[in-house]
Amino acid sequence: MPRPPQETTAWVAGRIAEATDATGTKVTSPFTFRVNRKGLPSFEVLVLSVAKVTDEVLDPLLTDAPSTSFVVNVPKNGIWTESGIAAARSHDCAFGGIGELMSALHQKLDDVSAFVKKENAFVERGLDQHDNVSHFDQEYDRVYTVHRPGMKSLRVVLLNEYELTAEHVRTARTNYGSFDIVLMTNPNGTATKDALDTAKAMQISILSWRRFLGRLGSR
Amino acid sequence: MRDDPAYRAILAAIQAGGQSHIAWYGFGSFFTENASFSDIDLLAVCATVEQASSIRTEMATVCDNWPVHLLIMTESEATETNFIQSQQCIPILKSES
Repeated sequence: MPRPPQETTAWVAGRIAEATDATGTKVTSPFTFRVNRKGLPSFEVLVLSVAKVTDEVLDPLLTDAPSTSFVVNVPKNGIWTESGIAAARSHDCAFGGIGELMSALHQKLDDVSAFVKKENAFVERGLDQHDNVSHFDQEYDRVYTVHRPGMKSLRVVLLNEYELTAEHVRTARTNYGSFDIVLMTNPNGTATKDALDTAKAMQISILSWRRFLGRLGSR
Repeated sequence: MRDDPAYRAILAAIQAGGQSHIAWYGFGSFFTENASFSDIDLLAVCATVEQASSIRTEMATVCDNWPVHLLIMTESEATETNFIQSQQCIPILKSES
């Protein structure tokens, strides 16, 4: 049986209160808590614990908590759908997991809602600047379809693992369906032999950032 | 070890799985007792890729409820990467095989 939302919210608030960049937290409703910071504005966090974040999940909660600046989804493997991302953005909220909330705190932003996960910001900037990319769509937080003029579009999954295993590749396939490329966004990441073999069997390429940029220019 | 409801739920899920052929380890900030942690890093090592898939399924509920970073490796991947030694993984439950 899932635990009550107020327990999840209290647990996350407790973790954030321990972070060095917060001076304290106060639970304000079953789904929200406030983060206080030294010399910076406090802000409101909405807490979810769902496998898949959609607009249907998020819109009613954000309508009830209009002062939210950050939406945090607790499961590490939780998926943000396109509609969930759009819902967060339409309510002027940043989003992510507990790690991203801690990063946002660490960046000491005046307005926490301006936070964008570094991994996505880096990839999107690279795609924006690439000559062989006309535009791209973000389908999930970790999935982009990259459109290339005169060439086949590529469906790309971002994985940030230090050790990319065969099971990561299989789980990505289960979660996101067919795709062309695993982009390894961890600059120190490596793929195991089993991961490479599994990807090859699925006709998926596992690429570092540099090789990915090269792949965008080839058919 | 920290007394945390998330960790208790993880241990209960591992024990409920009852798969004695899987070795479980912890690593990362939760296990090194850092003041703050954003997730709980777990490593499961099993013999085959089929077992790896079943571990993900069996741990789905606890992973959907808590910030669990579940890394699943076959024994050959664990050997290839030397992950247990390099990350100073702490045994939680050893394989009986």
